[in-house]
Amino acid sequence: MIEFLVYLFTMAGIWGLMSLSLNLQYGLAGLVNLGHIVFFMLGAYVSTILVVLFDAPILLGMLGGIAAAALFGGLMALPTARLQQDYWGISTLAIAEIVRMIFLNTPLGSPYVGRAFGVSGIPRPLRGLFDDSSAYNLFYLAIVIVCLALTYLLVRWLAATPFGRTLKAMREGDAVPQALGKPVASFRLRAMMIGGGIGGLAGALFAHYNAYIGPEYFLPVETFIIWAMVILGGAGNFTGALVGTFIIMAIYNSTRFIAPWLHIDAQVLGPLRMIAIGVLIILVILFVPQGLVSERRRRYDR
Amino acid sequence: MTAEPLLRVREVSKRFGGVVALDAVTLDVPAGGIYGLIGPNGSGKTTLINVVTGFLRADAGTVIFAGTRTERLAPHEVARLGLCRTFQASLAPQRMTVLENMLLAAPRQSGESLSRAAFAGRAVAAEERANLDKARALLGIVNLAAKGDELAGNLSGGQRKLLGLAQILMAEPRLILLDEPMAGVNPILMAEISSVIRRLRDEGRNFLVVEHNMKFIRETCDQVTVLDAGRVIAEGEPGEVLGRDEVLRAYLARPKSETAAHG
Amino acid sequence: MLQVLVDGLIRSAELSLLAVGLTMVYGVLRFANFAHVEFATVGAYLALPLAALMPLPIAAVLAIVGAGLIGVLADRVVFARLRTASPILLMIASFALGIILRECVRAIWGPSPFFYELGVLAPWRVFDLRITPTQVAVIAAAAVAILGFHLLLSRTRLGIAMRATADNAALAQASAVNSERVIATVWFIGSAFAALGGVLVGLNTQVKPDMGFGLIVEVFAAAILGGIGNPYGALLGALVIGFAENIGLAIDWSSVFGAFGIQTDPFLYIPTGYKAAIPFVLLILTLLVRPQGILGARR
Repeated sequence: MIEFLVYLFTMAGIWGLMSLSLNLQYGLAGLVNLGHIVFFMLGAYVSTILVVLFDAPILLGMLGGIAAAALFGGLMALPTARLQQDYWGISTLAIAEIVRMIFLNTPLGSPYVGRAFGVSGIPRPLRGLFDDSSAYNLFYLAIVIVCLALTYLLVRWLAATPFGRTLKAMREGDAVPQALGKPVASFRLRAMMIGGGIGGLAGALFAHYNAYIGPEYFLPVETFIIWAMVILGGAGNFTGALVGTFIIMAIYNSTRFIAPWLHIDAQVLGPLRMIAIGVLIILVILFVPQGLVSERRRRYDR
Repeated sequence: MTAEPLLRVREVSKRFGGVVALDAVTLDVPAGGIYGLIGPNGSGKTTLINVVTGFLRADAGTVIFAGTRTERLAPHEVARLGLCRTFQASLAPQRMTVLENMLLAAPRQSGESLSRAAFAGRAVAAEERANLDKARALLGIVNLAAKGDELAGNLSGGQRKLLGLAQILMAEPRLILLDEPMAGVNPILMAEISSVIRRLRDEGRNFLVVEHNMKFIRETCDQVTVLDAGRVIAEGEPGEVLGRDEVLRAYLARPKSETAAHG
Repeated sequence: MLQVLVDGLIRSAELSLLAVGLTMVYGVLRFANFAHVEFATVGAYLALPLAALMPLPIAAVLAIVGAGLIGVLADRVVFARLRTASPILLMIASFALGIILRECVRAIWGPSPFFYELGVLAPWRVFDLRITPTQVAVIAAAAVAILGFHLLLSRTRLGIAMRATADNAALAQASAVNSERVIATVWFIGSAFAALGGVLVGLNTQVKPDMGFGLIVEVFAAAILGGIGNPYGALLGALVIGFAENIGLAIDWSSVFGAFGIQTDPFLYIPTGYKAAIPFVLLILTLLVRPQGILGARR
């Protein structure tokens, strides 16, 4: 049981990073990224390629993953004009799928590595220091928690700066910020890069934890799950994003315990889980659209 | 008062498909005073404002603001030169508070640069404090001082207009462009806003106001230009211009109800 | 080469029904409906058990009507309450609905593919072409449906009401067009068309839970390429995408590059693994270069 909880919290921490990243891009800056999983994917693959194919030290690999994701985020930000908001959303979906397709079709090193086979044997950092695998897993959990905490502090701080304030204004349209002299394209670029980098960190942490990655981990439905977490928790509120993460993770992972009680076939379990999350999201949008934890007002007059 | 006009518009033309919105419009906005731009609906006032502020690119012509050519600049670059505008619909971000909206408008914020926010934290905080003081003072002028922490979306229509005015003052522009500030405003509020504008003019601020409301134009503007169907048809002092035949014809050619409502 | 054109035509036929339905819903409701493609899946699966009991065409009609009704129900339950919500929330809600529909199908029928029991039909040979009677039926069915839709839009009061609501909802309502009824009708027709598209795809290939979602980018690409909100644009877009996919794979790109003076390896073909990338790239290009589409968007 403890093993399972350690695993659960580690994964929750990694997903939490993704939620913070999406909340930065959508909740704070109003960017509707429907291909958000691409940052996770790039962080995971680039770190893996650097470490497995090029023998880079793991830390360097992870930094490479973060950088690749951040750069890609910047790339995605370039062609955005506010007018095309829902259009931009659809094209991000397409972009993420193209990247996945590239990884699906490209062998990495040898013919049976990469492509649909994925990459296995991804090394774990500092594994040699621990004899016990459960002790190591606790150690990795600690790493993830530290990353999550630092990222949380970072995004909260960003939101409180004049930079964050301008992003918030851009949520509701480019016209007013532009009329007040703000170069909105530069703000969007930075928001996408930072968000992308955080997503890349999550992906790199995942790759070196799971020891295996494959294109099947990066399907569009994963983006939807992250959106579910952010909307459930409350877009615009980073604490809310984490709350939403934990709730969805709980639902996702508890079904395996409930199933035997309700005599549900294993094959039906997976779909039922997704249906439950889908229904939850619709209920939230219908009845609590601002999410469980609403955006806090910045008060200056005590 | 300098002789050099603050804003020079030269031969600006713009068409949308087959419709000519602006036809070789030429006008000068002198420094010091309240300059009005009027004309019936569809005369091209909003198009001209959009071109002057960089939100639209003209097909032909030049715009020179404070000595710099601006017709090819992006809207935020024009704003940075000191030409700031409001919008007809009060577009101040609704999900931010009044004070946040004011702080947003402060010019030259080093906190918008990430490196400075990270490494010059104390300087940024000092700037924020200074901007807060300035914001509170401006809110005092428009009677919104008590609403500092209120969400902009919770304000009444009239209060939002006042916020828009205060916000643009925060940006310290050299020329303040107001796009129909009196639209949908009751007479009491209109008097209040007019007196604020006049007071600011007396303190040395420059205004360019697009308006339909004749009372406001007559009582507050120092000079006025009239547009009709994309062309300048008159300019001069409001009392004199509004009596001219061609101006009356431009308005009377429209349904009578429009002139009656604004007389 | 002609074979490639025929394949393109078949693909266009399948996509056109989905694209027209999607663009209609966008035109009237102003949001990108991510659940739309799932009605294709729903329709295809509904036809399966029915096809065991009756001839396929009748089963198909029943399945299509069923899917149409589910569409109306979905609007009543979910989207009717969100008429004033932001397009992003509507988009996410539709994404969620799509997942629910898809996973229900997966839960009930399982993940393995199904086929309509038609027996083995020998393909016809016309000149050099191979085309099965099924594929002819696919093209014919799509053509009839599109023609019917065109007549509906141009000749009937309902069609005019639909176009009016798509152009300017406020004005339409002021002119006593019952917009709720128009909306319900649009959902019915849109979902029914998607279901027909699904049955045709299932006929041509197979029926599996991801069949609808697998088409999502192509359908959006077709609708946007032609001009979102414009049904004739969607038809045009479907033709372009359908042909582009098949022709794109068949072309030896070295000669194309050669014409521009760029030297590449001879025999430069797009790998089949990237076939799906063609509509994706077309979509992104459209959005970058001419977002209002070929025939102009009705937004």
